[in-house]
Amino acid sequence: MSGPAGGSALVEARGVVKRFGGLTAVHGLDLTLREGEILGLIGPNGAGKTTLFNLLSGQFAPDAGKILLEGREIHHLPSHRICRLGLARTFQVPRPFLAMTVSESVLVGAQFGRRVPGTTASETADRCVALTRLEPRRNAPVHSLNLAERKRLDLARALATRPRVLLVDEVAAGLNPTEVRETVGILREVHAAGIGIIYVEHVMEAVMDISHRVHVLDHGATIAIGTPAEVTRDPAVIEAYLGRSAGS
Amino acid sequence: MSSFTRRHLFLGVGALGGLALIAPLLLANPYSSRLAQLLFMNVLLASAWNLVGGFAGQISFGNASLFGVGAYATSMLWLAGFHPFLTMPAAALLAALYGVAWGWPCLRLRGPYFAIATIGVAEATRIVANHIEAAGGASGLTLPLEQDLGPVLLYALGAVLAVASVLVSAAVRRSRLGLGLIALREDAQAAAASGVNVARQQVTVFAVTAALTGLAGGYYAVFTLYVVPEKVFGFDLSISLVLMVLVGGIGTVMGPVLGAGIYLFLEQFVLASLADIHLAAFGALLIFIILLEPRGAAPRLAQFVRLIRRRFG
Amino acid sequence: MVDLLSVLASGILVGTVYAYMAYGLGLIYGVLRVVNLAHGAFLTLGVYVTWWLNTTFGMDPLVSILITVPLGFALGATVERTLVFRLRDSPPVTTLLLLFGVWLIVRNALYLIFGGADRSLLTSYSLESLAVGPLTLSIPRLIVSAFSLLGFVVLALMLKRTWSGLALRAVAQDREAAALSGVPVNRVWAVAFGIGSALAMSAGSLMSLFYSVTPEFGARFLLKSFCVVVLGGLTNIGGILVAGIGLGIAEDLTAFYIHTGYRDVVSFLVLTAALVMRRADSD
Ligand SMILES: Nc1ncnc2c1ncn2[C@@H]1O[C@H](COP(=O)(O)OP(=O)(O)OP(=O)(O)O)[C@@H](O)[C@H]1O
Ligand SMILES: [Mg+2]
Repeated sequence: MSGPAGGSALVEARGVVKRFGGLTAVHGLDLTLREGEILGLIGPNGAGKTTLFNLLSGQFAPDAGKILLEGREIHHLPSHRICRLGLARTFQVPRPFLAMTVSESVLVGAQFGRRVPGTTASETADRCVALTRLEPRRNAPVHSLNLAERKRLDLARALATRPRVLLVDEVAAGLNPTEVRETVGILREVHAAGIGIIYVEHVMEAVMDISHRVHVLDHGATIAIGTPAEVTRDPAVIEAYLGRSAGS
Repeated sequence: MSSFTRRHLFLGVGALGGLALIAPLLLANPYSSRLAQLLFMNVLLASAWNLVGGFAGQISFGNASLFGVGAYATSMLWLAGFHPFLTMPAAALLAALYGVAWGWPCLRLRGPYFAIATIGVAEATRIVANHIEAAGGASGLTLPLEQDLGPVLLYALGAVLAVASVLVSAAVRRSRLGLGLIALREDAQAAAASGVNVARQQVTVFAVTAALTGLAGGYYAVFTLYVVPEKVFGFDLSISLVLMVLVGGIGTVMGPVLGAGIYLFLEQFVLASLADIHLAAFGALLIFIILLEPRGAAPRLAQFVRLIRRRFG
Repeated sequence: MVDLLSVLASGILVGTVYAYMAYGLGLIYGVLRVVNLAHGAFLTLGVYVTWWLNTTFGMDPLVSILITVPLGFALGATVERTLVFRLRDSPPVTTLLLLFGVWLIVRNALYLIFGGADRSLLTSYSLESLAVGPLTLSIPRLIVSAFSLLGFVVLALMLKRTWSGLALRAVAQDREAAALSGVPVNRVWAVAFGIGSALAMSAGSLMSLFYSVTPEFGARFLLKSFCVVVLGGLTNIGGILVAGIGLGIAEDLTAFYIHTGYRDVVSFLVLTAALVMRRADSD
C-alpha cells in the first residue's frame, strides 16, 4: 500500500521511558505517526506495545520523555483531556460498559469526546455504529455481544469521540478470517476519513496488509522501522520476532 | 438528548396531585402525618444517595454527615429568627459545600476504599459535632414548638421535596451527566479514555446528592423540632439509606422510592414489635438481598407490572 | 518533658496492640481482596468471650487466648465458607455490605445476651504499674504490648516457614498463578479468613484488660484497624507495626494536648487522608 511520504507528525514520542518497579517496559522510545498514515506497531508478547498505548492515551504518565499530539505536549494531561484533543484508543481486551446498550455506549464517546461544530452527538454515534457494522445490534445490551462485536464496539466508541488519531490494540486477535477481513475494511474506511492510525497487531496478514510503515518493538525499544516489505526482510526482526513466533 | 422532558413534568405534577388527593387520609391523625413525613424524608434521602451510589457506583456510608449539616443549618437559622422555609436553601447549600469539601478528595477513591473513607469522614464529623458548644454540644438543639408549621404545611413541603428529588434523579439519569456516571461506574478508565472527566462528573453529582441530603436534614429538623448529633450525624442513619436503596433497586430511578416505602413499613410495623432484634433483622435482610436478590425489588415489580399488562392490556 | 515522655511511652504500648488488632484485617484483604467489615464483630466477640470466661470461671484473659484463637479461626472459616465464598466473583463492595450484615447480627446478639451496659474486667494485676526512671508504666499495658509483639513473631514465622504460610503468600500475590501451580485457593481463602478472625478475637482478649466491654467496642476499633492497615500497607508486618505505634502516639498527643474527646477523630482523619494519598493502588 502506498503511503504519504514525509507528512507532518501527528503523534510523536521522544525518548519515552516507563518502568514498572524493576522492569523497564518502554525504554527511551522514539516513534512518529505522520499525517494520513497507518503505522503498524508489532513486536513479540511483552514488547511494550500496550504500555506505549497507555502512555500515549494518558493512562500512565511516562517516567521520562515527551509525547506530542499535533505538536502539542500531552504527556502530563489526564486521559479525558487527551481524548478531547483528538486521540482515541481501543483496548486489547475490550472494555465495554456492560450495563448499557450498544448505542448508549457509543453515545458516551460522542457526548464526551472532541467537540466538532455542525453535527450532534447522536448523529455521530449513529454514524459510528453503522461504520462498525453494529447497526443490527444497536439496541442490544452490551453484555449480550460476542467478542468480535465487543471489539467493534470499542472501535465505535473510540471513533465517536471524533479522533484525529486512533490507537487500535489487536482488533483482529481471536477473530475468524471473515471477521478479520471485515475489521480491516473498517480500518481502511477510518483511514479514508482522514484519521491517522497506530495499529498494534499479531495477525500479520492484517497489519502488513494495511500499514504504510511498520514500527517493530522488542523489550521496549525499537528494532526496526520501514515498509512492511523492508521490515519482513530485516534480520533483526526475523530474529526477535518472526523467528520466535514461527517457532511457537 | 433532552434531559428533562415534558413527560417528567406531567408525571411530577400528577404525583403531587395524587399526594394532594390522599392528603386528608394521611393527615387524619398525628401518627399517620408523621408516617407521611418520614416517608417523604426517606424518599428524598434514598434518591439522593442513589445518585452517587447507584448511578456512579460509589457506595457512601457517610451521608449522615450531610444530613446533619442540613439539620443543624435549618435549626440554627430558625433559632436566629429566619422562617423555616427560608432556611431550606441554606441547608442545601451548606450541605453541598461540605459534601464537595470532602467528596472532592475522597471521590478519587473507588469501590471499598471510597466506602471506608466515607465512614471515617462521617464519624469524625459526628464526634466534632458533639463538641461544638455553640450548636448545643452533645445535647443538641430544641426548636420553638410554638412555631411548628402544622401538619398541612409539613405535608406539602415534604411532598414537594420528595417529588422534586425523584424528578432530579430521573433528569440526571437521562442527561449527559447520567450517561457519564454510568460509564465511569462500569469502567472508570475506559470512560476517561472516551473523554469522560471522571473526577468532575462524580463531584458534580455528589454536590447534588449532598444538597438533597441537606434538604432532608432541614426537613427533619422542622418536623421533629429536635436535633441531636448522635441521631442526625449517626452511623445508623447512613446505613439505613444504603439498605433502602438496596432493598428497592440500586441504580434505578424508582428503586429508591420503593425501598424508602418498604423500609418505612418494615421499621414501623414489623420491627416495632421486634425492637430487640432490630439490628439483626436488618443485618439478615442485608445478607438476604445481597445473596438472593442483589438487584432489589424494582426489577421484580417491573416484571410483575409487565405480566399484568400482558394479561389485561 | 516527663509528660511528653509518658505520653509517648503509652502511645507506643497502645500502638503495638493496635497493630496486632489490625493485622487480621490486612491479611484477609491481602489474600481475598475482601474488606472485612465483620472485623469489628470478631474483636467484640473476643472481648465478650474473654470477659465471660473471666467472670464465670475466673480465667485470666491471657489464658483465654488459648480459647479465642481456635474459636476465632472456626468462626471466621465458617463465615468464609458459608457467605463470603458465594460472592467471590462479585464487586468488592458487595462483600463489604454482606459482612456488614454479619456485624449487625453479632452486635444485636451481644445486646440480647449481655445487655448494653459497659462492663469491665478486673485482674489481680489490672491496677499495677512499674516505675521506669521518671515514668510510670501500667503493667497490663506492658503485658499486652509484649503479647502483641510475640503474636507478630509467631505470625511472621508461620508465614515464612510453614506450607500454609507459603500458600497464603502465593495467593495474595497472584491468585491465578497460585491456582495453576496447584495451591488449593478455596482452602487458602478459608484459612486466611480464619487466621484473620483468630487474630481479631485474640486481640479482643488482650484489649479486654484495659478497655470497657460493650457491644459497641468493635465499631470504635474497626475504624482504627482500617486506619492502621491503610497506613501500614495491608500485609506488611513491619509497616503495620509502625503505623499502629504512630496512631497510638498521635492519639495520645491529641488527647493530652488538645482534648480527650478528640482522641478518636485523629484516626478517622488519618484514615481518610491516608486513603486519599494512597489512591494510586485503589480500584
Ligand atoms: N500495569 C503494569 N504493571 C506492571 N507491569 C506491567 C504493567 N503493564 C505491563 N507490564 C509489563 O510490561 C511489559 C510490556 O507489556 P505490554 O502489555 O505493553 O506488552 P505488549 O507488547 O502489549 O504484549 P502483548 O503482545 O502480549 O499484548 C510486560 O513485561 C508486562 O508484564
Ligand atoms: Mg498488548
